[in-house]
Amino acid sequence: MEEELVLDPQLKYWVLIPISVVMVLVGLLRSSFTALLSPGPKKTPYKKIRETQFLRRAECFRASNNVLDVNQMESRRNYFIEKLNSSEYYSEKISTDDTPKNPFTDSSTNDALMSMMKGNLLNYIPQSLIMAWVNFFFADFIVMKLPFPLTDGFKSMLQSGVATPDLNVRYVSAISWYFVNLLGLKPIYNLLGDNEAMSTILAQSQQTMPNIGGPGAPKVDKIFQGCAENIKLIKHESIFDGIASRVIDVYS
Amino acid sequence: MSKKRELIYYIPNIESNKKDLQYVHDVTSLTLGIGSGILTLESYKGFLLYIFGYTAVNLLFYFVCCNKKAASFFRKPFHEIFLEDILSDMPGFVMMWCLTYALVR
Repeated sequence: MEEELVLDPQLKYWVLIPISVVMVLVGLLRSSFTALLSPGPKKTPYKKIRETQFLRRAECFRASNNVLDVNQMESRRNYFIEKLNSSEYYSEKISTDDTPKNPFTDSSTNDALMSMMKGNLLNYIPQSLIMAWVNFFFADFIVMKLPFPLTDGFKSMLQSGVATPDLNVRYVSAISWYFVNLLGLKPIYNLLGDNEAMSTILAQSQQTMPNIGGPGAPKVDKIFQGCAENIKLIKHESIFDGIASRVIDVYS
Repeated sequence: MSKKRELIYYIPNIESNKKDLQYVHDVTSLTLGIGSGILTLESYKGFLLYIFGYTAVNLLFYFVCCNKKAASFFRKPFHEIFLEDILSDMPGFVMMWCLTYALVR
C-alpha cells in the first residue's frame, strides 16, 4: 500500500483552473489573430488564367470531339493545332536558358514563406510565454495526482523543482498540467472556435504548396506542343455517321 | 450493369458529414473524460472506459445517425468512424480525466 499525499484543495482553484482558462483564452486569441493577419486570396494575373483555360479547352475538345461532324471537326482541329504551336496564349515569354530561377527571388514564394513564418511565430510565441508564466508562478510544488502511473523517465520533466527523489511519479507539478493542456485542448477549441484554428492552418498549407513546387514544373511550351501532337493524332469518329440508318433500325 | 455503378461523392457534403462526426467524437471524448474522472478510475480502467465508451458511441452513430448505410456518407466509413480519431482524441480525454480526477479527490 503506497502512501497518499494530502494536497491542499485550494491548489485546484488557484493553479489548475487558472492555467486551463488562460490556455483556452490564449488559443482563441491566437486563432482570431491568425484570421486577422492572413492575407486575402491572391489574384492570379489574367494571362496565367487564360493559358490554363485554353489548355483545358483543348483537352475538352480532345475528350469529346465525337459530337462534331467532319467539317466542324477539321476546322477546330486546325484552329487548335495552330494556336497551340504559336505563342499567343503563353502567359509569359519563354526564356531560352535552362538555368532554374532562384526560388527566393520570386515574390509569390516569398509571400508564402512569410505567411508560413507568421503562422509559426503565432504558434510558438504564446506557448513559450505561457510556459514561462507557469514556470515563474507555479514552480517548485506538487499540484495534482495523475490518475494513471508513469515510468520514472518522466520524473525529471514532470517533477522539475521538487526535491524529493523517491516521490511517486503520479504526483506532478504545474508544468505537467500545462503539457496535458497543450496536447488535450484541441477538442475544446473545435467546440468553441468552430474549427477556426484548424481551417486557417489548412488554408496556409494549401497556399504555400503550389508556389514552392514552381521551379520543377515542366515548361508551358512543352505542354502546349504535346497537346497539339495529341490533337493531331485524334481518330475522329462522329456520332452523326450513319445516324439515319441507326434510327431506322431502332424504330422499324 | 447496376452492380458496377460508381459512387460519386459531393465533396461539400462529405466534409459536412465529417464535421458532424468530428463534433460527436469531440463531445464523446470530453464527456468520457469527465465521467471517468468523477468515477475516480485509475490507470488502465480509465483507458478501457475510453475505448469501450468511444466504440459504443461510434456504434450508435453508425446505426442511428448513418442508418447502417455509412458508405453513402463517408469515403472510408469503417476507418473514419471507428479507428481514425480514437488516438487523436485520447489527449482530450486524458485532460478532462486529470482535471475532474483532481477536482473530485
